[in-house]
Amino acid sequence: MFWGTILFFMFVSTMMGLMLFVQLHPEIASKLGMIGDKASMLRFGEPNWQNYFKLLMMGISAIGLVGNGFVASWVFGREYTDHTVKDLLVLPVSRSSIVFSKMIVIVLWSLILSFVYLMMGILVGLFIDIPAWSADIAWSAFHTYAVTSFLILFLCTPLAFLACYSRGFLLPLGFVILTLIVANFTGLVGLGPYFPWAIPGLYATSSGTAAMPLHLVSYIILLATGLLGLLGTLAIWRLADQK
Amino acid sequence: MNTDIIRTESLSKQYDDVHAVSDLSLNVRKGEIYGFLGLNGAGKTTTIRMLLGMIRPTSGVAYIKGKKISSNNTELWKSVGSLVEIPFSYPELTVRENLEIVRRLRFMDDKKAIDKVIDKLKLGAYANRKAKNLSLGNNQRLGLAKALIHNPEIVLLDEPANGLDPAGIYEIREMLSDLAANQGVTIFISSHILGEVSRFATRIGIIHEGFLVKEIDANQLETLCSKRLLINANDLEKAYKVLSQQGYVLKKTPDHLLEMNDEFVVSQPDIVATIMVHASCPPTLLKVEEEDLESYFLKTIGMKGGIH
Repeated sequence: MFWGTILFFMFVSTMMGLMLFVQLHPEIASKLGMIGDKASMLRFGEPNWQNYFKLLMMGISAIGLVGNGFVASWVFGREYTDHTVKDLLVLPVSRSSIVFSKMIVIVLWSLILSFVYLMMGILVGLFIDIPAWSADIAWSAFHTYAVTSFLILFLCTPLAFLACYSRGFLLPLGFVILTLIVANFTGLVGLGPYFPWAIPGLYATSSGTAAMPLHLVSYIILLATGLLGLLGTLAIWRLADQK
Repeated sequence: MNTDIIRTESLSKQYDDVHAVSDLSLNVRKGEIYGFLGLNGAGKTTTIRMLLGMIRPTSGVAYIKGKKISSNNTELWKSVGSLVEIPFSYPELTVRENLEIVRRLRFMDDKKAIDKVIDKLKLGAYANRKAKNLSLGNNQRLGLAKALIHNPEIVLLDEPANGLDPAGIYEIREMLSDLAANQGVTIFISSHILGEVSRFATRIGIIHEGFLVKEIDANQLETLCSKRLLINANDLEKAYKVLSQQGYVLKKTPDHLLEMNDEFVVSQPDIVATIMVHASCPPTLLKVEEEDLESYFLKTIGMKGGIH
């Protein structure tokens, strides 16, 4: 499962690179049968590193949510679907330790996926020789990317809660899809800064969306969401009957 | 000095209007093998889950080694091994890998513990097989291995013989008997097969519809099983009249025999034979029948099939 998620993230960032490749070499692309609409591609601007990083940023804000959500759902949910929860409950460790240990695994796994996504994206970008590389641009992009990945981490705890509550991973996965849809909708109506699942995406593209700036309250909402998810998960493990 | 290793005081668990366990008070002393018997749905697994802190009782309290059981008191589990319902393991990992996980999660330094428990449970041939590819019986053995790998002082087993073949049942029985007799391990084992449990339990508790209906020492079980004398004759009505006139109490069975339950008569059926022969009504069948354990169990819980 771990390597499966790594491969998936590598695949997605490779696809991002492919989009730039199509822009850089439309003649090769058309020979390969990929008829691209250059006008629609140009919404990312010229094919250079700055815009490529923006593309990668948009990608991680979506795929990061999905990947993080999947990881959180699976780490907790599989214990229920495989019926191995009862083995954990009779260990001589506190249940809080079990929850925090799994959260640490989720965080590390998500960070590894983020890192793999970015590195693969950069490697593909170097391979296809995207023009206008700049260390300043790269560093700025890396900073935004790191913060976006960090913000996404707060959203794993509600999914962990749902996995424990539903004793599986279908409900939390369904919830991930729902949040993506709602995040898009809140973006359309201008409520993005107040919907937790839209906030990382807005941060990633905040330099280009003056219409929906993030406020302090946005970060508080995100933090509160993460905290509530964690407390809910702890409550289930410590207080609920484990039938 | 209280040597109770496991003790419950009026333990109850209610779900909405279902009383899964009601007012259960039992105690298990060190080195005992307590057989907890009941039908499916009687409350056995609920009781074991409460003893493991997985379920909070609605009322009452349970103790292990004098310490109250709760989800917070996780130190207790250092000395407890358990198997609850069907054992499951991580399907993509092998037997050895699953046991390695348990060893690490229990902070056990002894890496040889895995080989020892594999040998003990005869899992050597399957050590490198993935758990998802194990048969039911071998999965059961793996579950038992996980329960015993850390050499616990107390073992709680929920129907451990499930899925095991007769050889496996014998091995587990011998192993548990040895643990209790020679290593002082306290064993609490639930089952619905009285015949199996009675072979090695030292005490038996029978639970029915959430209530503990009887507790007996296993060595008394035989004396508690009732016996009856079955009689047949060519002229059954005459036999009934003759024996009734002698003051004996008889019953007519559904399969057209006569039944006598008097302890003295059952122990001396020749007296009945003599009476019947003298009355020119010799018996064609004279049989002492002992209640089997299943019948005793069903009688105890008040079900059909038990001999009353």
